[in-house]
Amino acid sequence: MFALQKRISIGANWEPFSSKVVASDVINDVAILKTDESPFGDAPQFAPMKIGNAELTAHFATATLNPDLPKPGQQALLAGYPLGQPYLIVQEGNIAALAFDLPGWPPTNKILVSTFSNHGNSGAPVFDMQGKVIGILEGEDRAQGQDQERTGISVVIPAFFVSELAKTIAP
Amino acid sequence: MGARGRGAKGMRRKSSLIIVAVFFSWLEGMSSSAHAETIDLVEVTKQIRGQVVQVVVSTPDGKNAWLGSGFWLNDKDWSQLAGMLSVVIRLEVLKYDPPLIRCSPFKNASV
Repeated sequence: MFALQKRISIGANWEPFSSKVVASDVINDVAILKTDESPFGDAPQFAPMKIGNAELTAHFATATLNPDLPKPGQQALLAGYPLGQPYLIVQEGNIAALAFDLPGWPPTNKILVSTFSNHGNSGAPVFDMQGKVIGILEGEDRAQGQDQERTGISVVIPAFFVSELAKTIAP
Repeated sequence: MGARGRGAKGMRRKSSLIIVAVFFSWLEGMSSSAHAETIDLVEVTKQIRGQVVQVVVSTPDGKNAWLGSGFWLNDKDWSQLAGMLSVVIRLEVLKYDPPLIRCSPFKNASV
């Protein structure tokens, strides 16, 4: 269990806020951090920029977990910041399979999603079509052998483990 | 004989009309379901913006390097987390010291 104080910096010009790790799961490689004060108390106002009928503006929201395992074939969305992109990149995929003891990965349950993922996507939430988090991206599965070709199959930690981890947090 | 022939021809025409009608209603269903799916994707994408954070680490030369992503957790299901903001990230990120978690709001396109 980590009991570290970590600084959380909100945006480029915002003051950093301290936070601490309140729960961690070594097997599933997940941590929950909690801020000591709300960093969104004095959120700066961004001037929206209009392009046609689209508007570039700032958003903040919290995610809700869906701890139920999804069904193969179901649609899913991976949303993260691949390759250091400063903009949220949303990719569509499908639940390819539910797996246990996937070769080359920690021996626990995984959700396999048919979408490519890149460095920077790691830790990104995977959403169902109701906008709830069904898992956390761990990485892309690679073909066995020397070349380790890309498969376009992303390995996802089920949200169930995050939900169980949150239950362990002391009040 | 002729009347029977005309009758058979009429039946065939009716069947063809029914088949065409069924085909068009199927086509209509296909197009409306595809349309509904597209709308759902846009709506979900709108809903999730602002929830995802970027995890950045400061390098010794004072620059930032990106490590991954994470998300703000809604605390309504866990009273222990209530009040302040919680963020979920991969544990391996914490081996970097100190990780700066660059969070939303980012500027995202919305229509």
